[in-house]
Amino acid sequence: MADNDPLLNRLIDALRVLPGVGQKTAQRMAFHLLKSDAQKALQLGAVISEAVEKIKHCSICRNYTEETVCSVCADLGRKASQLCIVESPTDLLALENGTGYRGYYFVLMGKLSPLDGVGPEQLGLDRLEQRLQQPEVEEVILATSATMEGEVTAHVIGDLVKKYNLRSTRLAQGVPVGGELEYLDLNTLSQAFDSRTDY
Amino acid sequence: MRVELEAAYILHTRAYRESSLLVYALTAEHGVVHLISRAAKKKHGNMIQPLTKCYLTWSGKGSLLSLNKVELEHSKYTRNFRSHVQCLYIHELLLRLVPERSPAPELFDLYEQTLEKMLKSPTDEGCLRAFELELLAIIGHPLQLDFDYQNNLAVEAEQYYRYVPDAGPVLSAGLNQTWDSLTGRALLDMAAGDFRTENLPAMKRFLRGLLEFYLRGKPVLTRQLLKVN
Ligand SMILES: [Zn+2]
Repeated sequence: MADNDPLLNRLIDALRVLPGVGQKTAQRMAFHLLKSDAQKALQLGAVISEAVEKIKHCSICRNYTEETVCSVCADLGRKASQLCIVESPTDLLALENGTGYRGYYFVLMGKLSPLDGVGPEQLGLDRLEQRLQQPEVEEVILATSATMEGEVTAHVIGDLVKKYNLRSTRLAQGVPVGGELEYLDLNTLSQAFDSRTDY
Repeated sequence: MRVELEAAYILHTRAYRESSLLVYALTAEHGVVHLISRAAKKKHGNMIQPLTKCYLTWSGKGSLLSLNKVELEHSKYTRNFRSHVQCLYIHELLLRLVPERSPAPELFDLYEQTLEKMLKSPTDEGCLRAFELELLAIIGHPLQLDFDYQNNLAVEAEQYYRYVPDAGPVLSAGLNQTWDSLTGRALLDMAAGDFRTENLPAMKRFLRGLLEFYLRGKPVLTRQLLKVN
């Protein structure tokens, strides 16, 4: 861009904060916004600032919400005996949409990864501990990912759960639905083999 | 430059842009390498995982290397927590102490042997201490543990010493609370590679201090955040 277009340059730079958006894509987006209905572009700008300003973490589960308590935590029809631990809001949505689970959640917003500076504090484990002390909780479902960091996270939380004499469960690992053995990667295959069950 | 199917272990991955992954690997011939895997999830599925020996093909110029292909040898995947934490720990040491692309075949062998031992007996801390000692030697800081270099005397089991990095032990009047203070017995056991002794806690404290010295005073995060090892 020419140096005498500082505002245009700022817009392009700003768009590059989006994942997967490089210089070229940002330029295209900027021109598209300027060319299209000015009202819509203004709306986009306004809703971004309002969302960033107002959306915070739910005081109970840490998911994003503009209220103090999110809609899931505010839903009294759910099963209070079950608490499912997930890494991210997208994991929560996946479980909501893909399973019949209707208990409550706790969203870590990450997983333990010392190399990236993420420890128990960053995941809000102190708040989770408060949650575990509530008498209605009976089962804690550890739904962190099946990666090394996900396993370490599950284990550290599992220890917390044991401290309060609650039941902890972990999602099973195995052959994916529709998966043919010869095409499975070796890690998944050996894990599925080792955790075979009576049939 | 293109490198075909080089034996490697994944040390760490980090999300990069929307669908790419930064992959940190220890390789047999090229030491620690940083690779970018574009469209990582689609292309390599979940094959980019630590603890599994794999063969990597990569290409690129300068500092930007692209991971092209991953093949797995055999799975050592485990759900043992101690093993995972120990791996996180030695991976952090490798990534923070070993410069990128400084070939050291003995480092690859050391890692492979240590991994083998760790997965077999996850509670054996001795193999971590042995790893720390050998790692320091490979990166140019071999430990001289059995000779008091100032007084020109062999280290004696019953005496006390202060350890000077990159030099060695010096006789001292007694023990104090700092990491560099230790008994002659602990020094001699370490020199002999004997980590089964009651001196293991002292060795751990000493090596922790020494590693932090080489990390320029910055703590090992795996230790600090997970309170282990
Ligand atoms: Zn909530």
